[in-house]
Amino acid sequence: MSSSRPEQTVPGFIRFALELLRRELPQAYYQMCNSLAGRSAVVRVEGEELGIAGRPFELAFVALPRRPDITVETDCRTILRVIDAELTLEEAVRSGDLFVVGDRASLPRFHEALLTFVRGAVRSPGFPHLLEEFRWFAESRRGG
Amino acid sequence: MSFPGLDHLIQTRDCVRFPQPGDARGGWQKEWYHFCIMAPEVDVVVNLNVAGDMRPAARPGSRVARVIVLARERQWGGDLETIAERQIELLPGEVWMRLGQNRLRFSDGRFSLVAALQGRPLVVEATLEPQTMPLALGREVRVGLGSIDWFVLPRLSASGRVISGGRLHEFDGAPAYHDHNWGRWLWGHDFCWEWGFAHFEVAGEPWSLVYDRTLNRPRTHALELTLAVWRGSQLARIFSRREVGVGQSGYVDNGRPLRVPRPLAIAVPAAGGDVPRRLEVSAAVDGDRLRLTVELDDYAQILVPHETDLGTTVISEAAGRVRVEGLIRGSRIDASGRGIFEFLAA
Repeated sequence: MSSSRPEQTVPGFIRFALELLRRELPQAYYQMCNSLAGRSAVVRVEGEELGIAGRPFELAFVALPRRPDITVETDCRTILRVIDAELTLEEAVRSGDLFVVGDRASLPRFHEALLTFVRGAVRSPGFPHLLEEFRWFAESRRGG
Repeated sequence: MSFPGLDHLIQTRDCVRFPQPGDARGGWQKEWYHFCIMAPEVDVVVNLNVAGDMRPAARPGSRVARVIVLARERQWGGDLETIAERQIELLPGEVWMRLGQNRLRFSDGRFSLVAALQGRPLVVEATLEPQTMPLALGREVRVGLGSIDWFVLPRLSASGRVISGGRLHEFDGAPAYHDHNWGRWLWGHDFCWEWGFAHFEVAGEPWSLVYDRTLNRPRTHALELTLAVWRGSQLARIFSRREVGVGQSGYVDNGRPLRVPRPLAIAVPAAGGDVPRRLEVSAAVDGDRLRLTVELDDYAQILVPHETDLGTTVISEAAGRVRVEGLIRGSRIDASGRGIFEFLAA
């Protein structure tokens, strides 16, 4: 992907973020691949969906798997509240603002992949700008 | 308050060193200017720091600056903000830096400090006048594969204002502290540290102390251990290494402490276990002795991404009450005071 701006959809932001991570901190990206290798996930945010297949050296964006190993569902506001430390991940799950469904073997791997993503994002120079853009996107969507 | 030679000492020892050209480890260079102000209604911690940008995607030779402003009223608030390289201005050889809208300089015997977060309503504007001679060890302490040096002014008199949480706090003559670390090290190297300062009075006379202990990461080997005590403006005694014993007990249960930058808090295990409820430091040599007891109340945490791996160093800033007892150069000490202590865990 060579575009300098994400497509203005939630899947667009996720795809852009993962590509950005691969460019700016490949160590974190490949560690995520390792955590999710052989597993599939569906991320659902405010009605938009993205299928992800974990491969040894790639997080591939795929057609929605019929029986994903992990399903995550939330909304933009919850994502931002977790990023801003207003909610912990655990609190988001307990409050019902974040649904995570998966088997016992897959959930820890997804959790580890998510933490690796955060560790990578805070080290990647492009992420502060991307986060600002996501805030604008979430705000405009709420307003619109 | 001015002392012969103090301004020159500050200008030459507390000055900006960055960058040092021709340094094979230039990217490891760091300068951390740290200030604590204990105003009547609010404690403030300001840290202005500049470093070589070691992030893999950074342009070789580039720098990154961060501004940390923390304020403690009923609880800690604040944030850490990254400053774009084009907004970094340094004057090597002088105590002068401008990081975006944040400024520090030393002239006419006082520091002038302005720190203002962009994303939150927290602004600090202060002049700080040294009240003591400094502690300038003048020797680099090895930390991991690098080294660090330290300049300390344990007591300053701060005047200015803080806007925090929509409230204006003005202060005049508030007790304050300043130190400056510089050197070449990477976050994630094999080290951790704890240090703190305390102010107290003995028979109406101001006393100050600074404690620091730098260790390897497993805390099995002390790289540096010092307890320094000032009577009035003068350094009265330095205890070091084998003259100093350290004990800790309990842990502060802070609920959910402030942790900055906030997004990184997602990836760092829940807080707890890093800050002791009680710190005891005992020291004795040549007839002088001192026992420092610190009761720590609460803390905020600064999360520093490692430059060597995907781990995180956690720096806890804790406010506390101190009790000091002992005998220094014939003066009996039995006093209470306040201080701010820092605990770094990697």
